[in-house]
Amino acid sequence: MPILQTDGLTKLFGGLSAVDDLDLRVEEGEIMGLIGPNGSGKTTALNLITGFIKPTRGVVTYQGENITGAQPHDLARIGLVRTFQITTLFENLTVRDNVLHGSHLNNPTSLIGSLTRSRKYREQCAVLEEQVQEFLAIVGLDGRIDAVARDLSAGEHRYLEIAVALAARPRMLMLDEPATGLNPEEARFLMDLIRTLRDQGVTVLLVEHNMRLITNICTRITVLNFGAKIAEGTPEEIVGNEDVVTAYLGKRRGA
Amino acid sequence: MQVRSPLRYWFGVPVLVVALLAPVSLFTNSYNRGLLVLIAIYAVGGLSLDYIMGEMGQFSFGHAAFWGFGAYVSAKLALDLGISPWFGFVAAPVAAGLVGLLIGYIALRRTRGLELAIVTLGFGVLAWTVALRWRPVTGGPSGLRQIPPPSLFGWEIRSEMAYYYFALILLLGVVFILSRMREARFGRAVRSIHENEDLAKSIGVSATKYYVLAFSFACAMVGFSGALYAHHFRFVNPNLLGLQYMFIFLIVVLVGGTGTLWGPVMGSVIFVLVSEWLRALQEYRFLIFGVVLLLVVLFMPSGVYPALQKASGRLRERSDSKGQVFSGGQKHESGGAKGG
Amino acid sequence: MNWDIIGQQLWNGLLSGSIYVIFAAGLSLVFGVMRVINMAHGELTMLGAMLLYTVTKLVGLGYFAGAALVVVVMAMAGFLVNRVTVRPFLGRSELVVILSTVALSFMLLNGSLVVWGSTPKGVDEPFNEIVKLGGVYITTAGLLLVGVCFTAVLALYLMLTRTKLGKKTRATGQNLLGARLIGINTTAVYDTTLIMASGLAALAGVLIVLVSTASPNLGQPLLITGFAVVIVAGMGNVAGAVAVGLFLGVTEALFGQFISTYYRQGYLYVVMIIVLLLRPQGLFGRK
Repeated sequence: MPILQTDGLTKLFGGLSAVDDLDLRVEEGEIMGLIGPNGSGKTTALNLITGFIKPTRGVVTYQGENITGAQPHDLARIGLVRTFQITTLFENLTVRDNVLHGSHLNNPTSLIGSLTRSRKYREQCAVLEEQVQEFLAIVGLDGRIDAVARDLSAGEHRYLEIAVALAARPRMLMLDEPATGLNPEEARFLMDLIRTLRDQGVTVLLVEHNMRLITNICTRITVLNFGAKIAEGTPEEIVGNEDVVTAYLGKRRGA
Repeated sequence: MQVRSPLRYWFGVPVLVVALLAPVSLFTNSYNRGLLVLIAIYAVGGLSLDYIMGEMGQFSFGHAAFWGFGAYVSAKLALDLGISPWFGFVAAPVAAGLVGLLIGYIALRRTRGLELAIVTLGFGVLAWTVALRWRPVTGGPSGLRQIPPPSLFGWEIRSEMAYYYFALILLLGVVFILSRMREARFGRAVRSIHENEDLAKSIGVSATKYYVLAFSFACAMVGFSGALYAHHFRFVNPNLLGLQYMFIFLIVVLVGGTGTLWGPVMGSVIFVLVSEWLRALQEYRFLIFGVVLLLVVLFMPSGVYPALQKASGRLRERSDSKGQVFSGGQKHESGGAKGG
Repeated sequence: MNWDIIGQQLWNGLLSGSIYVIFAAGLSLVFGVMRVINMAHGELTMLGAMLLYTVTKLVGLGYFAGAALVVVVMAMAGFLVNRVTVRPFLGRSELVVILSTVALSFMLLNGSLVVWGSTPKGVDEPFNEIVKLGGVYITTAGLLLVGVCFTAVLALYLMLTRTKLGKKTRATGQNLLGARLIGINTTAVYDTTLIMASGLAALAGVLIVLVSTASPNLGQPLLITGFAVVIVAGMGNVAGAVAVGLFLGVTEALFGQFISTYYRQGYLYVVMIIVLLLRPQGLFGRK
């Protein structure tokens, strides 16, 4: 059974279909790529799956459960977490606070505990702090824990964004064009990071328009154009697919 | 994990000493001690408004209505049912909090920012109309009089000095709770929605739930301040729910500095003292306050307290983002475009 | 059922509805184009009425000359309103402008109380014959009011839909950044928007005195009524504000006649809250 599955997912914006009858399968433990040229409906598809917008038609199933139209925060609760195309952080807060905010679902402290600062509360805080350090170590930001988010570089922004998402303990992580704005070295680190996450048991759906970047880390790739699926398969199959090449390069005139 | 600002304690001790000694040194007659009580009451009101402005990054024009509502609730209980004001100090915030929960639920499901400000204005004015018109219950335009003061072991807290210490303790309690709330799970959730609602949702924070609860909490706090007012001045009238007190709370918050905890306390001190100093000017007073508010918003958007922090040279880098009125949240020119 | 009474209340409702229309249209225009809630809009109307009182009673101008002068002066003042309380805050949070315009409204209200005192002042209408139409008493001054209101709203509509400036204004309202990119001087658009809105506010002020008195305290209740209209219509929807303003004016009068004079004020807010519950984006608003 796929961990995530969409059937006939469709979103119309004033008669135009941004996502058109999309059937998507993501298997547990894989890195699935969702690619397509700009404007092909990738982000809309992600927004539909994660409940940020409501689909016109279609069904989204996660771990066998129908989650169509569920609220984003309820999805996070069952392990479905996303990042955003434009890096989205709590920009005015420190790196530590960003990850602590991200730990909302795993924050065991009670209101009474935080008012009295009981021993139990302090212990829980110490555990949280440890976890924050761990998440930051995974993304390589342990040295920047007291920096304010908006002072970070573009690469560090992305890494922190992933650390915040990790703090919500996702079973499935959906990354929206995470490599945008990164230099090749940062992009490589990011891809290694995504592999590490997969190895730790997180299923990844990677939305990207840069095909070259993800062919070597994805197990399977689905290609969208004008909101519809035009190809699906292993990276090798996709690279050789004529429709995909046409979609990316445009039809040759007169051909 | 708590980042302690040494500044808070550095300021705190002498301020506390001044606060404790004020009624026996500087403010010796009962009129002047009454001003001290007013400072404490407005400070609680300002802190509660700042919970909406500073922590939630939102604005409620109905805040004074909850203040007046708290005052009426406690007054009615004491006058009609003969219930002790001590119970009123609990009942008023509970009642205001419950109404805040209801209105927050109606308003915060969909509206934020400007829309929320206007919607709460509508509720506020409706409440004011009811207070003015529902004569059998509210006493109409003249309000309710001869509200009893609270008593302790049969001894009524009538003297300004006693009431001041009483209000001061409660104010410090509110400040304490607010400062601890910031690092609590609840406070973090609220702050995360303020900073970035989409991100907060995506990591599992139910934005509506926490905003409604936070709004209700602020309403409860201001209802409590209203009860303090009712049992001190011992009368209430519909004006308490009106825009004039809204304006006063705004000045208290903005002059002091939003999102700073001690800012509204300082704002309250400044407002009450300056207002007293300008008392001879009668109707010019609010004209002057209008000018002051505009100048503050224009030239000192962070308020007095952060300015003092800066002057003390110990400002941490992280705090300068906090002071700005409505930092984060919706910006005027944000495109917010999401491609795909 | 007494049809004369209904007719009379319809007429009375038309009078107050016309004022709501012209007032709410300006308020809605500013919100729609600039995403600014002008808390001083009511005080601009109040100033219109008070200045008219001053130029007619103390300077000796006639009603029409005085009204024209006041509206022009107040429209120019709209430019200042933009430059002092709105423009400095663009780029900061939207909510800050609420605070600066609140400050302005308190300055204007309390300044006016200092200058004119709180007693209502009467202004002489240019003519005021009473006409009996069936069983309904109609004043010529009231007819003037209704006529001017709808002319002004029609002019605003034509301006927004038919002129180049109107197109620029609407484009700016829909997408500020986009408007800038295609070369629209959005600063000028903001200036003219507030000039128009404040002219409309002052026009409401000079018309109010045809059926009522001028007082520094007339601004705040009107502002709140205006917001009720704007919320019910959907924020920023000028055409909706016109329809709803008229509807609420008429139904409010009928409510006052047949249900409760005492709670008449509450009627608008109750309607507003019901609309908010059922359709938070307003009757004509889009999600």
